[in-house]
Amino acid sequence: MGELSGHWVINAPDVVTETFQGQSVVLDLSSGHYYSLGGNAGRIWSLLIDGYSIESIVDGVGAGRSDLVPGVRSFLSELVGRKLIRPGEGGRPEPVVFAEPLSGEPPALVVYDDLAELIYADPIHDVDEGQGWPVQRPATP
Amino acid sequence: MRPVSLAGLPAYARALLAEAEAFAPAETDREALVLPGLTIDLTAGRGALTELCRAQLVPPAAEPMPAVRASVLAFDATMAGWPAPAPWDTEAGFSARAFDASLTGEGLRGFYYHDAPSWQIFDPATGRGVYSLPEPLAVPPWERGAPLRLFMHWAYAASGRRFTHAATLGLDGRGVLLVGGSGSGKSGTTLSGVLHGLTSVGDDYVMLERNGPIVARALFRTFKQDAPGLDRVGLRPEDLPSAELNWAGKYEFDAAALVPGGLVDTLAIDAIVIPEITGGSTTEIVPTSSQIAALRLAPSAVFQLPGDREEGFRFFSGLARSLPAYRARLGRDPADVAAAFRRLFAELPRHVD
Repeated sequence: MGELSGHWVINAPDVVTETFQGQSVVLDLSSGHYYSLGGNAGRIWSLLIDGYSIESIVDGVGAGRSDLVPGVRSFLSELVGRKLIRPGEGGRPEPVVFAEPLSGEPPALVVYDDLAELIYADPIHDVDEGQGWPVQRPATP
Repeated sequence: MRPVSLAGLPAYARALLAEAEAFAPAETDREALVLPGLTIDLTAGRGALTELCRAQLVPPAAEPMPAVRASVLAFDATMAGWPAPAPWDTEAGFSARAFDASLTGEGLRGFYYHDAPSWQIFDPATGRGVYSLPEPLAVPPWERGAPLRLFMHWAYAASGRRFTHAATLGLDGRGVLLVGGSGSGKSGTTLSGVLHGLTSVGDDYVMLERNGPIVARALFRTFKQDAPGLDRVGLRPEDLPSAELNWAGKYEFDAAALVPGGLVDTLAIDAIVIPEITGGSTTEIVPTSSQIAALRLAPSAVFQLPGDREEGFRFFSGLARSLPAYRARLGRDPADVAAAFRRLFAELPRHVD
């Protein structure tokens, strides 16, 4: 995949998100995966929600913490790879100005897949009667 | 019977609803199931499902609250004239998200149980639902302890309330929600508390409503616990009143019969608590963030119940934002668990919206 650019938006309606004092919870209703975004990840995610373009975000990060730019690009690529964001139109081209400096930690997506079986339970896979709801039984050889 | 695929799903669901309305079996049970804020008029083949509901649902409250009305027609293929549930077209694959979207686009809600094909279809606009089964009690095994849970979920969602995957503990009418996935300690914490003087409105599913205060109401009268869990609180299976071993190897028992006064109708919810089994000697309850509370409450509540998932996520996130959140690091002593919750209630401010 080439370097990301342009305007990207939350991949609604499959992806839903809420933010709690700068930390976000993201649910992918299609895959059953859910995500925690704290620290710099929550801040970058909020900028995407606010409509800033990839260039605006990367330039804004680079202005204060150029060492974080590779990590931010990698994080954005992971959001794309997990289909949490998709290309959008328009958006805000002005550079991001961080009122509070970013911390030194690269943004990281915390992934939870413990409930994905609830979404994947289907006729193609056997269903086990697990701990309180149906869960997918491991494939038998 | 022709298999159902995504393309034919809305038409099959509508046809099933119409067929059930027109079906006039010779003998049925008719029962008005009076729940908090919801009365379900259940029409079912003789015996099994109605009896299951009587055994599992809470009795009507002494002072019933205003209720919306829904109806469920539960028919099975052993009834003369009622067809076997159509199977899903496995060649076409299955996506729970696409299934939900297909029905929601037609104003419907639904669930298909793959292991023993059955259909649950509900029309929120009319409050009418159909449960088409191959046999009288061929419900998904996890629904035996919570019969009609999906119809409750859809009917409550249509009236702005939430059928919720959470346990509860309370004291003097005030309560906390215990949230987390299966095996996180919700039921054990509830049982420990109730055995030592606290109350509850449920250890697995409750109804939540938010009109100013956040209120949890009891739906089911049974608690569930496995043998090691019973042992941890000093109980043996033979101590339980009319306990039955369920599909998951847990004993299901009437909570009010075990501890008179332990199961109450209503609790005003003042906090969210995340149980954590530590195996330590004492129980400690410490603050945590609203984001952590949302992570433990919203996904398990949303992914368990088909339909209205985004609305559920917004509702549960709103709760996490409004209520203080705590982690309960659970020790081994059930009396100490209850004492820790008593200390929490003593310090916890009442929630005001």
